Amino acid sequence: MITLNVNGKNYNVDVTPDTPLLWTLRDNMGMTGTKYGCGISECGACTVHVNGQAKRSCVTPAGSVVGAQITTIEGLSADSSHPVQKAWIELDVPQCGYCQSGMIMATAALLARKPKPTDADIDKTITNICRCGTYQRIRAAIHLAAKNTKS
Amino acid sequence: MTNRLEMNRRQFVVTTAAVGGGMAMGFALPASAVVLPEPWKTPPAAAGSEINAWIVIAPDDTITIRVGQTEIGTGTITAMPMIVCEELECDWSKVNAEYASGNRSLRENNVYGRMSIGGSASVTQSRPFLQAAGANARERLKMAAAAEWNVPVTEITAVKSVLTHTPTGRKLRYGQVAAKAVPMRLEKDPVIKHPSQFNFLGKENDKAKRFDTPLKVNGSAVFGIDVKVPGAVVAAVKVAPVFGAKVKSFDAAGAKARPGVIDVIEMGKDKKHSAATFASQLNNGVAVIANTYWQARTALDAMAIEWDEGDLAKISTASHTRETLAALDKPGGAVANKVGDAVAALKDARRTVEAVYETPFIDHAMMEPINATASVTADKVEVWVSTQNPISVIDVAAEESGMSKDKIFCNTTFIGGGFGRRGVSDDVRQAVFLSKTLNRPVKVMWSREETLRHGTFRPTAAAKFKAGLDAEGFINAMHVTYAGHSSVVWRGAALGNGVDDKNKIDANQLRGIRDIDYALPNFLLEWHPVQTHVPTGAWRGPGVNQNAFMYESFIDECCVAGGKDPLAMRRNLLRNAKDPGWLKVLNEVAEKSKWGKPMPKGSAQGMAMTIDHGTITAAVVEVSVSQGGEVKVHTLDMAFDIGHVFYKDAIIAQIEGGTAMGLSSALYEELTLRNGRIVEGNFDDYRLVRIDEMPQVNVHFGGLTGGDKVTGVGEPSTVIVPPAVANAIFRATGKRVRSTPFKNLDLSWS
Ligand code: FES
Ligand code: FES
Repeated sequence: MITLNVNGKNYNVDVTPDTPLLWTLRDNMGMTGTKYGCGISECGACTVHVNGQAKRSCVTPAGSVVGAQITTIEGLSADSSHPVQKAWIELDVPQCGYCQSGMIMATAALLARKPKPTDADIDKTITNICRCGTYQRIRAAIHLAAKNTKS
Repeated sequence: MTNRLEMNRRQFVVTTAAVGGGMAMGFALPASAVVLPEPWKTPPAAAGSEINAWIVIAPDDTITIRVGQTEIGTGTITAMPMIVCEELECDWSKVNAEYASGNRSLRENNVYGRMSIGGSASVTQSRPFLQAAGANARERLKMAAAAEWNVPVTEITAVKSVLTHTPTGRKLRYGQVAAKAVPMRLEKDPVIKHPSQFNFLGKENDKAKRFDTPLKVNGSAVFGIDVKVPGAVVAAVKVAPVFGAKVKSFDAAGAKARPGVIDVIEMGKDKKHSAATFASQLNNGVAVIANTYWQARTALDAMAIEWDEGDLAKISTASHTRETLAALDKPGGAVANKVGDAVAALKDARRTVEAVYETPFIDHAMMEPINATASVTADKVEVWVSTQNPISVIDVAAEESGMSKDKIFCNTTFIGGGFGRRGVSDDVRQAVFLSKTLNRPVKVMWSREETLRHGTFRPTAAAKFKAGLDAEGFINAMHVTYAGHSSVVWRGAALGNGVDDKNKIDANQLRGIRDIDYALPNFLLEWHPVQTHVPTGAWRGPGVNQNAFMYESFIDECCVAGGKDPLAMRRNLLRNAKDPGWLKVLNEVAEKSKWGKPMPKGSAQGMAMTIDHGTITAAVVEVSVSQGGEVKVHTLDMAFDIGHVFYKDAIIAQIEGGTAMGLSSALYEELTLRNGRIVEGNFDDYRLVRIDEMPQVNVHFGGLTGGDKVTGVGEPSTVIVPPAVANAIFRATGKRVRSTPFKNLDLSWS
């Protein structure tokens, strides 16, 4: 049994410490907004925030984030009002939508660190995979979110 | 008023009469909810009146429109209701969508028509009956108002959910008369609008947002992999890595001793299936059942399994390629196209050009790995699955459970991509088998590796082209020999299903060569089928996604040999084209891309065009290649002819997204065979383009020919990117690219 702080609440979960955070969230805590795409840190579908930093939860042992502040897509905002979510809605970014939780979490972490990212920053940081190919809109939405974020 | 129902021709009318008597089969939500996170569920809240199988209207004017095709990311859950709205003349801000029930469709004589998706065809094939459904409801609402006011129906107009008696100006809202419209019957079906008469589609709907977006930005959209069914256990599965091989032994006891593991079950032990169901059969393998996926997965990974692989394990990419290339040199292929006498003309030609092109197996690599959940009980089977084809789910679940189809309920979830993979229900078969065996609900989950190695892959194909040029340098003869496996039939079926049996041609696989409107006075296309033990299937733009690359690259070779500009060459080839769309699309893209503009050294434009499911496409890309051989695609300009624009933003989204997929297939994608199995397993060795490689996509609408043409745009950009990029690479480097993926080629220059 370990205790995890997710979206501001403490949860006692019955997993071995080496269980990936991804499966702990999905199977043990019922939070399925965080997605499984590869399990080897290649695609970013499983991106969450750990103490504000983007982390790929499929390769993050649950035991390694005990005591940390974990934020998932469900906790990014209460009502989809985060500037990144609003920009995503404004530009209708998602197609199938499967990669988008990870894309949004990666973007939110980038903007927290760098409120006005350049295209080069985006190329370097947003390394998630979208098979539907929504990249052009993701880039536009990142710039839009940056524009709409009060600094 | 006579009650003249035409039972077979207009099923949606029948439904109202025969089944519901109308009331309360549908329900509606406040407009803010629009689509439920679990889209298969019937929205709760106020009861409404079901006007026909597609349309439910609540007293507060909320309208729920049922969608027959599942939302896979192309926008169907928004675009299909838009088509109904065009005829229904309703207030779009009060429209909700929900999935139509596949089970109901079966029970009610296919009331929802075509329910599978693929082939860019959602809009094309559904449009007439969605329009008819909207028109039918509109006219009956008018009749209800006419009855209410006791006036002739011809004096009533319907605009934005309001019925107006024109002479007096009296008004009624749809919600006020919906219940009364239910029993109304039409003497004849109203004539539906021609696309040129639309006032909502392609116009007012331009700013409309997609219904599913809000659910996809907060993690609430439920995909198949997210489904929670009470009491369900999780199965991690592994089938024989060599397709068609058998399980010899496995260490069940060891796996069962691990935490959380409930059972270990062999699947598909003595199963025999017909060739036609190969891709959806229960392949021989092992399932580890546990409380959570991680418990099941780690136990499966740790388990020793021995396989009986036989001779199939001798097959490799090298042996398969040898066989394919050897077929190209065999005489007497089945003739797919013949005009004039290409063989004789080639003998007489002043100059000939010859080249062999090849394309590999590739996977759909949709982001959501394969999964399915089933609950088999004594009286029914319930399935929850990300599927492109609910009808195949019902077929397969019925066959595997032994229950009749009316006992099968398919709950279609949101779908994390499909691209042709999610239509055969092999996942559903496993889930039904395991649920039946364990007597409890089971969620089957494939790892990424299992998903990538057990797809229904795009088949390999190779083609040998010979062209003869005339004195001016234009093409006057072409002989193409084609060797490949069908993409619409699977191992064991020689040529069947969807294939021109008489001539032994897979017409589908030859699209992009046999249906191009180029004027070639002497043309011969011959097909040699190549069999493989690898399961194959449709991949976004079947056939065309490899043929456009091979054919349009070869046309570019002819341009070079004949000293012709690619634009001039294509204009010449299109001199007799019956469809004006060909030249219109070509000219549009040439103009918008500024074809022929000067480019710096190491950079170039590349041009290609093709047709896919009736949509003519032309593209120009700008590419730079570093001296070390690294390719960067900067822009893609694309023009196309789909006739009319119905939902502009969704069209642009499809073209943008398809470009990324086409670029991945050109640069990186390939599955290799070693010892009879697929080598690649995950995104580390099956690379896809990321945001840093995404070109700027410029979509041009000036190629549209209007008229009666209505085709789709889900596939064209995917198929056009590889040849356009290959042709640009040649112009930038002098290196001709004759196979995909380009990552395997040395493109350095000096
Ligand atoms: S699932 Fe974690 S990076 Fe792909
Ligand atoms: S939207 Fe489908 S994978 Fe990104």
